[in-house]
Amino acid sequence: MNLGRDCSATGRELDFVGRVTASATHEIKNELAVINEQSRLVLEFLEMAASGKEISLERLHGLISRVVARVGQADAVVKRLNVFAHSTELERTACEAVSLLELMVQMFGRMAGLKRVSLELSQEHPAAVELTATPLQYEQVLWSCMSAALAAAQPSSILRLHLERDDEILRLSLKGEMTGPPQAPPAELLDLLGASVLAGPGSLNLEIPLNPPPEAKEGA
Amino acid sequence: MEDKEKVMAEAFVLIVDDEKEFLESISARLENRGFAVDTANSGDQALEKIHGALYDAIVLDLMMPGLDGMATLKLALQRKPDLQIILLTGHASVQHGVEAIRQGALDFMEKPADLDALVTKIREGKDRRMELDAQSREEAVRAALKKYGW
Repeated sequence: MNLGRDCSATGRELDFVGRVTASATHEIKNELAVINEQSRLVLEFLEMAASGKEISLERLHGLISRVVARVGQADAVVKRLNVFAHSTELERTACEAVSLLELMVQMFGRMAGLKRVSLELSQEHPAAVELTATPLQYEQVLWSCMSAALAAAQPSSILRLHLERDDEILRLSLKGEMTGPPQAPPAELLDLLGASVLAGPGSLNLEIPLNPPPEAKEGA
Repeated sequence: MEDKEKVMAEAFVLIVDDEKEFLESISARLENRGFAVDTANSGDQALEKIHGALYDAIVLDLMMPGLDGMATLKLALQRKPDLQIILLTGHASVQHGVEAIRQGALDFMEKPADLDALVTKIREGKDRRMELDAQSREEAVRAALKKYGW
């Protein structure tokens, strides 16, 4: 984390980084638990083979292939966590809004999965959008909006996210089957980006100015 | 699984985890050690299975979509208080451990669990279940004797 702004992160920022890190490390731990069981089972099969028992090569091959696949999944989570760690700057900068959104959607996937909710990010979005913001605060607002939409979402439903740029405004909509209107993220968090949220039945719409007004530029 | 196989087995265990590949591997490893294993991929499915079978021990994942491990533990013990449940979690914490034991779990272990330690715990669960079973049969006999004035 780059502590350039004033060398201190707020409690809310630390809490957010903690939540994201806890979720990602839990995901990695889960992959490791599966890899552990599979590889130990392979060892047991090899020990059986060494003691003269016939074992299925096909089963052994299947197990090792799954270990390789799970290592790949664990690696993908580690890469995302690494990108996140490098993106948590506390200084206002020109950040790329689309790739950070994609990252946060991927990292939020596990939280949504616990409620059996699938996240679908529409691929019809601008290739890249430059947003003047503190990346960590932008990520926090995205996470907060997804958390609010998830809390209102029906279990086993789909939450659809769509990002568009309208002149100098970045718009993100989150829509799905919801039990009621999602609760908007705290105003003091949105104010950091000069952002606003409109929550209605089955949707939450976030608007962020690409170049926030002067009062939002100082940060918290 | 045939009833005869369950009786001959070291113990009859239900493993509950939403991760299919974890279920498959740990089941195979326990079967290699002579255990009879049944599986459930959700808390709801576990409750259904618990209703219809007599397990010596239940190994339950804490973090699952829908009904999580702690909620499943509470509901299962409300229905069958003598169940021997071992909770497994990705990150063991004192707080979770204390809560699990308070709710009536036999124990709480961190994933990946050492299989020898898990096997010891399952055997402990079986012993405890058999002890409770013997106690309740003894009580039933005592009640019958009292009822008929023998």
